[in-house]
Amino acid sequence: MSTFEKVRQVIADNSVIDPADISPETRLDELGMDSLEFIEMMIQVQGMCDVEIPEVEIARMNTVGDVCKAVEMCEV
Amino acid sequence: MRSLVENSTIAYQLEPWAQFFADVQPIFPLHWAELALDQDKIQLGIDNERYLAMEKAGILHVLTMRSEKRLIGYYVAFILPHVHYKEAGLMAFTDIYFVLPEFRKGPTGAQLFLEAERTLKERGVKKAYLSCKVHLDHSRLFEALGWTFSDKSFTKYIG
Repeated sequence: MSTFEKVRQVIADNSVIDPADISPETRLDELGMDSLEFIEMMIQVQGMCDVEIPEVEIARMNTVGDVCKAVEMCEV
Repeated sequence: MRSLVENSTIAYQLEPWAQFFADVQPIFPLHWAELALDQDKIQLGIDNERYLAMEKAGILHVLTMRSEKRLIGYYVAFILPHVHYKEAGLMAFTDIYFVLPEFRKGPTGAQLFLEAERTLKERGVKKAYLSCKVHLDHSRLFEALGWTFSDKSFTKYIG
Protein backbone atom coordinates (compact mmCIF):
# COMPACT_ATOMS: atom_id res chain seq x y z
CA MET A 1 0.00 0.00 0.00
CA SER A 2 1.46 3.40 -0.95
CA THR A 3 1.78 6.28 1.50
CA PHE A 4 -1.08 8.08 -0.22
CA GLU A 5 -3.32 5.01 0.04
CA LYS A 6 -2.55 4.67 3.76
CA VAL A 7 -3.19 8.37 4.42
CA ARG A 8 -6.37 8.29 2.34
CA GLN A 9 -7.61 5.28 4.32
CA VAL A 10 -7.07 7.04 7.65
CA ILE A 11 -8.75 10.20 6.36
CA ALA A 12 -11.70 8.21 5.05
CA ASP A 13 -12.04 6.45 8.43
CA ASN A 14 -12.16 9.83 10.17
CA SER A 15 -14.31 11.88 7.84
CA VAL A 16 -17.47 11.69 5.83
CA ILE A 17 -15.61 12.19 2.57
CA ASP A 18 -15.79 9.47 -0.05
CA PRO A 19 -12.25 8.04 -0.47
CA ALA A 20 -12.65 8.46 -4.23
CA ASP A 21 -12.89 12.22 -3.69
CA ILE A 22 -9.59 12.40 -1.79
CA SER A 23 -6.56 13.36 -3.85
CA PRO A 24 -3.11 14.74 -2.98
CA GLU A 25 -4.50 18.19 -3.83
CA THR A 26 -7.40 17.93 -1.36
CA ARG A 27 -7.11 20.70 1.21
CA LEU A 28 -7.03 19.60 4.84
CA ASP A 29 -9.50 22.29 5.80
CA GLU A 30 -12.01 20.72 3.42
CA LEU A 31 -12.13 17.37 5.22
CA GLY A 32 -14.84 18.43 7.62
CA MET A 33 -12.64 17.91 10.68
CA ASP A 34 -12.03 20.39 13.46
CA SER A 35 -8.54 20.90 14.87
CA LEU A 36 -8.88 18.21 17.51
CA GLU A 37 -10.16 15.68 14.99
CA PHE A 38 -7.33 16.64 12.65
CA ILE A 39 -4.70 16.06 15.34
CA GLU A 40 -6.26 12.70 16.24
CA MET A 41 -6.25 11.77 12.56
CA MET A 42 -2.57 12.74 12.33
CA ILE A 43 -1.79 10.54 15.34
CA GLN A 44 -3.49 7.65 13.51
CA VAL A 45 -1.53 8.40 10.31
CA GLN A 46 1.70 8.30 12.28
CA GLY A 47 0.69 4.99 13.87
CA MET A 48 -0.32 3.41 10.59
CA CYS A 49 2.82 4.55 8.81
CA ASP A 50 5.04 3.93 11.86
CA VAL A 51 6.61 7.40 11.78
CA GLU A 52 6.84 10.35 14.12
CA ILE A 53 6.19 13.65 12.36
CA PRO A 54 7.66 16.77 14.00
CA GLU A 55 5.05 19.28 15.17
CA VAL A 56 6.50 21.96 12.88
CA GLU A 57 5.79 19.78 9.87
CA ILE A 58 2.18 19.39 10.99
CA ALA A 59 1.90 23.16 11.11
CA ARG A 60 3.10 23.43 7.52
CA MET A 61 0.53 21.01 6.12
CA ASN A 62 -2.19 22.38 3.90
CA THR A 63 -3.07 19.43 1.66
CA VAL A 64 -3.28 15.63 1.76
CA GLY A 65 -0.16 15.63 -0.40
CA ASP A 66 1.67 17.57 2.33
CA VAL A 67 0.75 14.83 4.82
CA CYS A 68 2.14 12.18 2.45
CA LYS A 69 5.35 14.16 1.93
CA ALA A 70 5.84 14.54 5.69
CA VAL A 71 5.32 10.82 6.23
CA GLU A 72 7.78 9.94 3.48
CA MET A 73 10.32 12.43 4.81
CA CYS A 74 10.11 10.82 8.24
CA GLU A 75 10.49 7.31 6.81
CA VAL A 76 13.91 8.12 5.41
CA MET B 1 12.86 33.14 11.56
CA ARG B 2 10.18 32.52 8.94
CA SER B 3 6.62 31.57 9.67
CA LEU B 4 5.90 27.86 9.90
CA VAL B 5 2.84 28.24 7.75
CA GLU B 6 3.23 28.70 4.02
CA ASN B 7 0.88 28.43 1.07
CA SER B 8 -2.05 28.83 3.41
CA THR B 9 -4.97 31.17 2.98
CA ILE B 10 -4.46 32.13 6.61
CA ALA B 11 -1.76 34.61 7.62
CA TYR B 12 -0.27 34.71 11.12
CA GLN B 13 1.44 37.84 12.40
CA LEU B 14 2.29 39.80 15.52
CA GLU B 15 0.28 43.01 15.74
CA PRO B 16 0.07 46.09 17.94
CA TRP B 17 -2.72 45.91 20.50
CA ALA B 18 -4.53 48.95 19.09
CA GLN B 19 -4.82 47.43 15.63
CA PHE B 20 -5.99 44.11 17.07
CA PHE B 21 -8.41 45.79 19.47
CA ALA B 22 -10.08 47.71 16.66
CA ASP B 23 -10.75 44.55 14.66
CA VAL B 24 -11.62 42.21 17.51
CA GLN B 25 -14.68 44.14 18.71
CA PRO B 26 -17.24 41.92 16.93
CA ILE B 27 -15.40 38.76 18.04
CA PHE B 28 -14.92 39.37 21.77
CA PRO B 29 -18.65 38.92 22.54
CA LEU B 30 -18.62 35.56 20.72
CA HIS B 31 -15.50 34.56 22.61
CA TRP B 32 -17.04 35.62 25.91
CA ALA B 33 -20.31 33.80 25.19
CA GLU B 34 -18.52 30.58 24.41
CA LEU B 35 -15.89 30.60 27.14
CA ALA B 36 -16.70 32.87 30.03
CA LEU B 37 -18.00 31.54 33.33
CA ASP B 38 -20.50 33.21 35.68
CA GLN B 39 -21.95 35.19 32.79
CA ASP B 40 -24.96 36.22 34.82
CA LYS B 41 -22.69 38.00 37.30
CA ILE B 42 -19.58 39.06 35.37
CA GLN B 43 -20.00 41.03 32.17
CA LEU B 44 -17.45 41.43 29.40
CA GLY B 45 -15.44 44.62 29.83
CA ILE B 46 -12.02 44.66 28.18
CA ASP B 47 -9.69 47.17 29.84
CA ASN B 48 -8.13 48.71 26.75
CA GLU B 49 -6.01 51.16 28.74
CA ARG B 50 -4.39 48.42 30.80
CA TYR B 51 -3.59 46.38 27.70
CA LEU B 52 -2.00 49.46 26.13
CA ALA B 53 0.01 50.02 29.31
CA MET B 54 1.20 46.41 29.25
CA GLU B 55 2.19 46.79 25.63
CA LYS B 56 4.14 49.93 26.50
CA ALA B 57 5.89 47.96 29.25
CA GLY B 58 6.91 45.31 26.71
CA ILE B 59 4.81 42.61 28.33
CA LEU B 60 2.16 42.02 25.67
CA HIS B 61 2.31 39.44 22.87
CA VAL B 62 -0.49 39.62 20.31
CA LEU B 63 -0.52 37.03 17.52
CA THR B 64 -3.34 37.23 15.01
CA MET B 65 -4.79 34.94 12.35
CA ARG B 66 -6.19 36.69 9.32
CA SER B 67 -7.89 35.38 6.22
CA GLU B 68 -7.79 37.96 3.44
CA LYS B 69 -7.13 40.62 6.10
CA ARG B 70 -10.18 39.59 8.14
CA LEU B 71 -9.36 38.79 11.77
CA ILE B 72 -10.38 35.17 12.37
CA GLY B 73 -8.40 34.21 15.46
CA TYR B 74 -5.79 35.27 17.99
CA TYR B 75 -3.43 34.28 20.76
CA VAL B 76 -2.52 36.84 23.44
CA ALA B 77 0.02 36.35 26.22
CA PHE B 78 1.81 38.31 28.91
CA ILE B 79 5.58 37.93 28.82
CA LEU B 80 7.61 38.51 31.94
CA PRO B 81 9.89 36.73 34.37
CA HIS B 82 8.07 34.44 36.79
CA VAL B 83 7.96 35.94 40.28
CA HIS B 84 9.02 32.60 41.77
CA TYR B 85 11.83 31.95 39.31
CA LYS B 86 13.27 35.35 38.51
CA GLU B 87 16.53 33.93 37.15
CA ALA B 88 14.82 31.41 34.88
CA GLY B 89 14.21 33.78 32.00
CA LEU B 90 11.07 35.07 30.35
CA MET B 91 7.87 33.13 30.65
CA ALA B 92 4.63 33.50 28.70
CA PHE B 93 1.36 33.48 30.56
CA THR B 94 -1.40 32.92 28.04
CA ASP B 95 -4.19 35.42 28.42
CA ILE B 96 -6.66 34.47 25.68
CA TYR B 97 -6.91 32.51 22.47
CA PHE B 98 -9.77 32.03 20.06
CA VAL B 99 -10.56 30.95 16.52
CA LEU B 100 -13.87 31.76 14.87
CA PRO B 101 -15.89 28.53 14.72
CA GLU B 102 -16.12 28.53 10.95
CA PHE B 103 -12.31 28.48 10.73
CA ARG B 104 -11.77 25.60 13.18
CA LYS B 105 -10.96 23.25 10.38
CA GLY B 106 -8.05 20.96 9.66
CA PRO B 107 -4.70 22.09 11.02
CA THR B 108 -5.64 25.69 11.89
CA GLY B 109 -5.81 25.19 15.66
CA ALA B 110 -2.46 23.42 15.71
CA GLN B 111 -1.00 26.11 13.47
CA LEU B 112 -2.09 28.89 15.83
CA PHE B 113 -0.36 27.31 18.82
CA LEU B 114 2.75 26.35 16.86
CA GLU B 115 3.00 29.92 15.54
CA ALA B 116 2.51 31.18 19.09
CA GLU B 117 5.33 28.93 20.26
CA ARG B 118 7.60 30.04 17.43
CA THR B 119 7.00 33.75 18.03
CA LEU B 120 7.37 33.40 21.80
CA LYS B 121 10.64 31.56 21.32
CA GLU B 122 11.81 34.40 19.07
CA ARG B 123 11.17 36.82 21.94
CA GLY B 124 13.34 34.70 24.21
CA VAL B 125 10.57 33.02 26.16
CA LYS B 126 11.75 29.89 28.00
CA LYS B 127 8.47 28.47 29.19
CA ALA B 128 4.83 29.05 28.40
CA TYR B 129 1.66 28.42 30.37
CA LEU B 130 -1.81 27.97 28.97
CA SER B 131 -5.09 26.47 30.01
CA CYS B 132 -8.44 25.53 28.58
CA LYS B 133 -11.94 25.43 29.94
CA VAL B 134 -13.39 22.18 31.24
CA HIS B 135 -16.41 22.76 29.01
CA LEU B 136 -14.22 23.24 25.95
CA ASP B 137 -11.40 20.83 26.55
CA HIS B 138 -8.42 21.10 24.18
CA SER B 139 -6.18 18.78 26.18
CA ARG B 140 -5.68 16.30 23.35
CA LEU B 141 -4.61 19.06 20.99
CA PHE B 142 -2.14 20.55 23.48
CA GLU B 143 -0.65 17.19 24.45
CA ALA B 144 -0.24 16.29 20.79
CA LEU B 145 1.67 19.56 20.39
CA GLY B 146 4.03 18.70 23.21
CA TRP B 147 2.42 20.56 26.14
CA THR B 148 2.32 18.86 29.54
CA PHE B 149 -0.86 18.59 31.58
CA SER B 150 0.41 20.09 34.83
CA ASP B 151 -2.31 21.77 36.88
CA LYS B 152 -5.97 21.71 37.76
CA SER B 153 -7.45 25.10 38.55
CA PHE B 154 -10.68 26.04 40.29
CA THR B 155 -12.86 29.13 40.46
CA LYS B 156 -15.54 30.22 42.90
CA TYR B 157 -17.73 33.30 42.70
CA ILE B 158 -17.67 34.84 46.18
CA GLY B 159 -19.08 38.30 45.49
